[in-house]
Amino acid sequence: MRKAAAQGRIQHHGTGGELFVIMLMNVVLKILTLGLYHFWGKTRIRRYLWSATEFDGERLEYTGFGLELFYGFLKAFVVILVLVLALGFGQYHLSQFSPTAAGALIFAFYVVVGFLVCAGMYGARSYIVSRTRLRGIRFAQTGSAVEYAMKMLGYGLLCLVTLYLAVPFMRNALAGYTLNHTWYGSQQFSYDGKGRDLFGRYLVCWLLAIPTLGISIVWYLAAEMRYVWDHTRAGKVTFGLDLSGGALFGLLLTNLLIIVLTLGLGFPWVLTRSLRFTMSRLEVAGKPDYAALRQTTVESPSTGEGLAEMFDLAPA
Amino acid sequence: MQFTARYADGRTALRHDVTIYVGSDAVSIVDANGTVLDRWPFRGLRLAEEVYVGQPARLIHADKPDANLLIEEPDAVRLVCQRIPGLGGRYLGGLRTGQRLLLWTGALIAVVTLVVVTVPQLAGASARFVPKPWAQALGSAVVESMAPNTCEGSDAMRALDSLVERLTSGRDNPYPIKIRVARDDTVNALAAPGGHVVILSGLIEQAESGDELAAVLAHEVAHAELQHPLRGILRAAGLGLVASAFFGDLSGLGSIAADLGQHAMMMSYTRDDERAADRIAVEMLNGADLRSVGFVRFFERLRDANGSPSEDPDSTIYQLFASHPMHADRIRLIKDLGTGTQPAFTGEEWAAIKGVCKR
Repeated sequence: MRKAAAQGRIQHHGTGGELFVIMLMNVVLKILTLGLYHFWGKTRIRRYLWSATEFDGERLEYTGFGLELFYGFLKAFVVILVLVLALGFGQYHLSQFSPTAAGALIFAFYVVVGFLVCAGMYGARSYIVSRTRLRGIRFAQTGSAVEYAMKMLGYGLLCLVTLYLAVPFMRNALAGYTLNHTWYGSQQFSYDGKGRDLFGRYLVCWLLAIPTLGISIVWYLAAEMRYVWDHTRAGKVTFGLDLSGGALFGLLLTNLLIIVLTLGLGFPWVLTRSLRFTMSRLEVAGKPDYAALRQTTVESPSTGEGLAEMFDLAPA
Repeated sequence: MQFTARYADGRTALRHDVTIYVGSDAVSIVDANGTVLDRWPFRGLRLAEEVYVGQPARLIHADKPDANLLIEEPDAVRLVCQRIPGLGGRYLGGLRTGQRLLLWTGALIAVVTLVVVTVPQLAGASARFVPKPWAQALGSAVVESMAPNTCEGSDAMRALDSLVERLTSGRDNPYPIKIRVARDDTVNALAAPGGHVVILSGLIEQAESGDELAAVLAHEVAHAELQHPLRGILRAAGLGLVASAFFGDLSGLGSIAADLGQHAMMMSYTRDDERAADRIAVEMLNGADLRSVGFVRFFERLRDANGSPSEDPDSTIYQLFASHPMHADRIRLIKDLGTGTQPAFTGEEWAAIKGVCKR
């Protein structure tokens, strides 16, 4: 029997030292390729982090390619370039007739870019999830990036109007949309959380935000993470997270200290210890029926996370 | 060779305990009943990811989407990686983390050295491809920002222009030299891109004779003729670009190191440039039959008076004194090569220059 079993079903084996070497290597290759290696380096880091993540004795596999990220970036670059050029062109011609129309054009530009960024975030997750494999079975994300972006912008507006009191509803809705459209092979994930369950907790932290200089939000975040995992399941498999606000605060504080004291060089250690921290607190109950779990039929996106990459929103 | 492994066919999430037989050009996957589940040719076979010391290895195949073979025994992993051609690239089980750290640190030092040496040189060399109007516009902007208070005095300016005329006549200068005097107590003169030369009033005040001023002016005109200011700016910009583009993601440390390096570069490169400028300056003084002894005297006097008079090491303009340590060999060069006999200015001219910034 693997000794993994004694320690919990999800584990992270990554070490800061190994990740540091990978990042060092990426820097060397980026210099030699005038920065182009960025996309391949990112892929390399993911491959390491994925293959260091174990569930029930099996490690995750990252199947993405640097080239996909590069194409994604180029696509996004062209889209943004065209938009900016269109804005400039429109401004030039409109400002002669009507300053109001020119102003409206700028507003429209920001709305479109905001919308693209939101959609891009969903697209980025879609890409990453589709490039993740466990036991030869791919994860997948369905749903529409447009719908997600609409939700995000709509709730975002609501948050502004309500002085951010609507935040738990927004986060619950977005988490729900994402999780309900996530698949492991033929097995769909489901989420049955309600925004109002989170609201009481959020209200306390919201009221305390100013006297605690915003630190109370960490306690809300911990509560939200616990809640989201508690209400997530994949068939017979259910999840739980053993995370207190104090523990999360301790993690964030020590991470900050490491970054500051090492002038940022400690980043690989911060990343791996955070992953170990979170994964060691994740509880999984129930056994997946592996024999019944079939390969996904969802089509994967062909290029990666361009827009999110441009705005530096894509994860690790 | 045969090993035990676990096989996922990519259709269901089930793992099968199998035995794999590594032949001469393919791997056969056989289950417990002896049934051959699949046969994977070496061609197209890859490791799914880098395999570190003690980590299980996963084989994947280009023609078998989503299927993989998991090998857990470290010895088996090593043997399989050695046996199958082209598989070793991702096998890192031979080197420990510390060894790879050393290896890549060495590579980083080598690459950074290469970049730090070649990029500024290339950038500097590109100065001659910069269109003249651009260089002149850049120089104007630099001069305006560095020395905004110009002193006007037609007699003085005529005297200075006439000196520059004599110094540069018959020489192949890329730009016409534009002299201006700026009110600034710093004892300095500057050359900016596009043939701009600025004399700070502090220098005029400190100079004891017209020859001293003429010598410093000749030195700056030489910098201008050699396009040193533009080259310097391009060098610094090239290095800054490289540094910010590639060290940005490591940490703040990278940019600090890059900044320091950039300054070190400016200094060490200008030393070579200084020598060249000295030589050209003496050539110009000789050509106009002007005495070059003022050069040496002025620097010696300044050195004795106040070790290093320069204040702003950040300036992209040529800083006369921070980068002008008067080594014995430089003094000797000027003394040995100077052949001129005439003073640079007449008495009236020198008086006009001395008074140009007096209110």
